[in-house]
Amino acid sequence: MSLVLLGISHRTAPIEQRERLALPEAALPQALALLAAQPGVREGLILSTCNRVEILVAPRDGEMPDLLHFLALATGQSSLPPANCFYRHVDAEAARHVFRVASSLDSLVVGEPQILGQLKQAFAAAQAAGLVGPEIEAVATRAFHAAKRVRTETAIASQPVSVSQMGVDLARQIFGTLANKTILLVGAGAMGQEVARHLLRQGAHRLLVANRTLARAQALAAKFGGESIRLDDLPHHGEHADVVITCAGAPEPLISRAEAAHFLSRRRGRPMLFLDLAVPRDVAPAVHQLENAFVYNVDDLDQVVQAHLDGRRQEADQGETIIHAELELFLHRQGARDVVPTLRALQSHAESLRVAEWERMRRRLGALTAEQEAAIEMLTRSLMQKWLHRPLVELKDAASPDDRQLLTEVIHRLFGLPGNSNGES
Amino acid sequence: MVEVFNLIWARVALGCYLGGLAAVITAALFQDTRQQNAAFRLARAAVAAGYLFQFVSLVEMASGPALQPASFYRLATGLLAFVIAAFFLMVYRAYSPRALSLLVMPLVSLLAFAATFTPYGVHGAPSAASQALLHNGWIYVHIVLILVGYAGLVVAMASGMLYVISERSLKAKQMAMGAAPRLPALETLDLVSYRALLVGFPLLTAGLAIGAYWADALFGGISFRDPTVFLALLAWLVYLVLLFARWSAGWRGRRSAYLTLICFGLALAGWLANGLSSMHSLLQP
Repeated sequence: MSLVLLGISHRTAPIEQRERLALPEAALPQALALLAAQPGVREGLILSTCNRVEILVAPRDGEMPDLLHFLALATGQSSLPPANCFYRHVDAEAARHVFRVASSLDSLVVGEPQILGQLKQAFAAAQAAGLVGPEIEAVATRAFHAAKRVRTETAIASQPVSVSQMGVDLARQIFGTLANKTILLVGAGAMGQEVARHLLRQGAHRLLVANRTLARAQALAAKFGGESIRLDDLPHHGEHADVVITCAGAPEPLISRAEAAHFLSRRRGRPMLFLDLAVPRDVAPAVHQLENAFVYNVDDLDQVVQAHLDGRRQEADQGETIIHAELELFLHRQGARDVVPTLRALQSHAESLRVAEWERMRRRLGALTAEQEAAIEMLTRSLMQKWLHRPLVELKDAASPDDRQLLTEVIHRLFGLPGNSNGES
Repeated sequence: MVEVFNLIWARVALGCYLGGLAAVITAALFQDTRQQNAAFRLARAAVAAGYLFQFVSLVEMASGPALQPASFYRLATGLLAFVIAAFFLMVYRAYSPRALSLLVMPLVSLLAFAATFTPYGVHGAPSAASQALLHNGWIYVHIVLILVGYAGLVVAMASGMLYVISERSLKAKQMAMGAAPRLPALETLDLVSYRALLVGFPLLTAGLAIGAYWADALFGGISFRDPTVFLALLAWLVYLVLLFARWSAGWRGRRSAYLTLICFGLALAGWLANGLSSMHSLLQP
């Protein structure tokens, strides 16, 4: 196996540096064609997302393509970010990096689901450009497999990690489906709008918008396709809302415990979720004590989000263990693949010696009976097999790449096999 | 009536359940999390083993020679333990609700015990009235309707318990991180609970009515001092109150879950009191 990876990501460079090197989807085919034309590039793949740009190549034997030069060419940048913004991995480390990226362990938000899709797209684009060969195909397919394992065997992606996702998630935990649910948005705060938009996108059925100024409420209602109400009418409309999002930041709570109790009794106990995104708070904290009322304020949501992020980091450790195991397996298989040419060369070398010697002997011995011929044939074969057994087994079972390399070289030298090892560097 | 069942598997199952109960209690006493986890794993393994043995025993009973009403108790009680153990295993696998296992394990053990060691059908001769009953199909209808009514209660109770667990975590604002799949939504759990109650009630009512009619015909009236009759009627009343509170006062979720639990407790007590009831033990007084 031989792989070289050059990359720049959110871990090593600020956005100002990264955005200069981004290769949008439309520019990818051209960049891939350019990569294919670089000297020393046998196979290649380009991954460009908002958090990273990475180039993975399998170089031709003994050559080392200049990937920085290629990046400058492909992005049309005359000066590249400083060298310490880049990372470079070779062979096993390159494979490990691809595995980690695919599994979202290297992502800004660990466990985010997009990266795997992006990597698959990058792979498809490279395939379309004819730049995928056995090396990259092997590492990419194993990386997809490892990512799937990390995703299903750990809880890395099971919990929401943004306030608006959290809002949707809470609504789901309480109501199941949002299909016939009504959202009430009080105030015009940006975060409130974001949460309302998320809930509507998830299928919420109706949106009510209340604001101190009716015109603002009407404008917002028009924007989201909802209905506007006066803030003073809140007591009359509150009972219709399954989810109440508040982001008005009034000096006094807009919804008191008594009002909430009134809503709940009119709703005959059907639950209500209050997402209070305002500071100072718009929903009296005591509302949470009411049965079937659930009040989450900004701090609560933030805490849960933080807890989920911490949880993801913990799960990430488990993910790393899976990656480690997958990488070992991958390297072992690759290694086994790498020694195959030597195994074959040794066997055919031995066989040709045997046949040559046998032919020479046959001429000297003259006419032999069929049984005698068969006996000699069997004797020479089994001798040869016994002799070769030990070296072949040792080579096949060599545990580390270094061991394999050493044994390959030794076997080539001792037996005088044609060509040096198999080109592994 | 002669006992026709070989109870060996039911007793092995009981042994497993009791082992599970002991492990659950031990786990509650441990301070160290690792020891707790080990004890709970042991408990789960024990319940799973008991579950298998009970299955064998139930199949053996059900496929045995002509099912006799007195032994029907065994089968039904064992079945109830089996259903609750299955629920426990499923819920435990997903959510590890440890407090719940302290509640459920004694129940399962008690039922498994009742299914093996009660004197139903072992001693004494059947009364004349029960002889008549045995030849009367209505007793089967009576028993089956009541059992299906109970099953509705079990489903409602299980769903209600999950509701309580889920509501508590939402109120505590702690959404645990873990590989466990999450509980169904509150409204879904409440709906399941409600539907199970709605299905169970008319069946239970019909079962009780049939029982009352035949008791009147064969035993010359029902006695409210009979423990089974008394407890069953009490359970029925609580059931009625439960449904009424849902309709009129909008009781749902937690309150409804607790009331369901009470109702099920009464129904179960009534069932277990069968042996104390002259009418229901089917033996001569």
